[in-house]
Amino acid sequence: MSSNFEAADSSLGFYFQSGFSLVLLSRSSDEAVVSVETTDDVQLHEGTTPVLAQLKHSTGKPPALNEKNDGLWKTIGNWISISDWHKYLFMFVTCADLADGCELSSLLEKTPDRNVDSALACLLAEAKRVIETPTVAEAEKLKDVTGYDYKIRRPACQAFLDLSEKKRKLFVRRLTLVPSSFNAGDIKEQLLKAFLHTEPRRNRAEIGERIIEWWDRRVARALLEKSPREISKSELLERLAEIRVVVLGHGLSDVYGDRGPKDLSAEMGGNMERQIQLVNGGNYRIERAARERWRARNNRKHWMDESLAFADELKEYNKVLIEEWRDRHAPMAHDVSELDSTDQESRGLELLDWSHKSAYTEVPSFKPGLNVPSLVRGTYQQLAEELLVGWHPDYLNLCTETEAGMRWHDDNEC
Amino acid sequence: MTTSVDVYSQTNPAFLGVVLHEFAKGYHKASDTYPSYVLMYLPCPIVVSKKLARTLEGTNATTGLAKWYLRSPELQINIVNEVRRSVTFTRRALQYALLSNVFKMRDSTLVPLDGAFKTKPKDPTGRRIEDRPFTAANRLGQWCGQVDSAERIFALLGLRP
Repeated sequence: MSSNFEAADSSLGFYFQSGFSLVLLSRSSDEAVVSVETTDDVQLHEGTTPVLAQLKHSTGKPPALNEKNDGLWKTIGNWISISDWHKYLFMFVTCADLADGCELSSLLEKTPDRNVDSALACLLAEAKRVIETPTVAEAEKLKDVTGYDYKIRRPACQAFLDLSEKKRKLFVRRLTLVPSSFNAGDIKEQLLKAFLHTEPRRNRAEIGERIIEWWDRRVARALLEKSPREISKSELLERLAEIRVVVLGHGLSDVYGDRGPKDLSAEMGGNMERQIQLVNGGNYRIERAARERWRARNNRKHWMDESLAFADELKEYNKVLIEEWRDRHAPMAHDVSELDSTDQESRGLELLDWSHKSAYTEVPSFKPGLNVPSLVRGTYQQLAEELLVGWHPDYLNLCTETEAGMRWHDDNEC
Repeated sequence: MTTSVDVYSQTNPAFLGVVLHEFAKGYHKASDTYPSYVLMYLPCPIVVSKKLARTLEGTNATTGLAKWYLRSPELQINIVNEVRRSVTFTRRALQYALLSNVFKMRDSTLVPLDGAFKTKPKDPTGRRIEDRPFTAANRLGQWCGQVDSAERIFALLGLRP
């Protein structure tokens, strides 16, 4: 049982390492680069001095951090053992709070030129106390069983004391404590706060999810040495741009959704109007159709101007709309074939109203997350103009056959 | 399969044929040779898509392909998809241009023919580069001509022909 918990803890610890590096990079400047599991849990290059971050993850409520913390001393010992430690800054990150009144509070600021005298004195006193305390073996020899080994802390305390006074101060000035850190469960929230607050609110969560998915895979590939170990902020920003394009519907927006033509009369007439008359739609429905077709046409033109590639996709989308319409029109035409003309018109009118009121919520969107009602409404009217869709059960025979397909072109035509 | 009227107008093979002609002219100006057939899939998605055409703003004939590409993150992200998704239209434009004597094939290169058009293709004046597709195509052609190797051009742009 306990081993299961340990495995979960260690998995979460690694997950946190990856997530923390993402949040750290997202808060850093554009030139920043991070790597995971290189010289330390996380390494950040930003500016001239690299930062080594040691992470102590916890999902529960760990005891408050003070100068007696084994994890802190073990980390200090590891950092001092790096031969060129003077080339780094050090960051000790823990989910624990800093103990009230702890002298280490002067290490909370990130600047390396702050006054750390009180923290230095506190660490020095603790190191001396540990070293001066007899080991268990020594205590037994002295027949004093009150001795305590401080097995974890002792080597680090010794290394700390072995530094010259000048080097000790230099080391402590390079040390930053980050207590009360977020944990593995808060990564997405932290990312949204640090990095994605400029995205549209409705898309933030999805963009965050996708960034995290990509990041985890990117870190795993780095560890497997299938991708470069270092991940740059510019790589993250590029990925964000790609994800944004996908999530926001390829950057498409409803440019003409609240606009209309100056003169609707130029938009009316033709098969579109005739089809509405066949189901007794009345003048308002004709005007409505003309307005929606104008919006759809202008939106489509705007998108194709932005990217020629949308031309192909819009062509495919027409097929989707036609299929959705056919699934409704064909059964309806079958069902009403024995009914009188008034009933046929009435059912046709229902289909026309479906194309305006409900179709945009029922047929697949042109792009995920893109909601442009007029694209569906207006394209249906254009398709009605082309006689590729219709409202009356027998619309094709009732409309002038010579106009059928006139404005459509075979792909192979030149 | 059918193409609706607005899609057909945007991807009009006659218009795209002129774009290709300008590209080939620009290429020839810089290299004295003619562009390979496979290179012709490059200009249409770049100069007709405003999103990508904007990346040519502030460039001139001497900017060069590499400098233009490297300073345009938008381009680096989108170019592969844009080119891939425009192949159908470019192919149709090439067929049209060849049948209409806008080009002739020589080996695997396309030679733009003089006098292919009654009036010289001209962009509207005073517009930004994304609204001047013929100028953009000619400039892109010159950059490609300076490199003068389809393989190197595709490699530089991260594309596989």
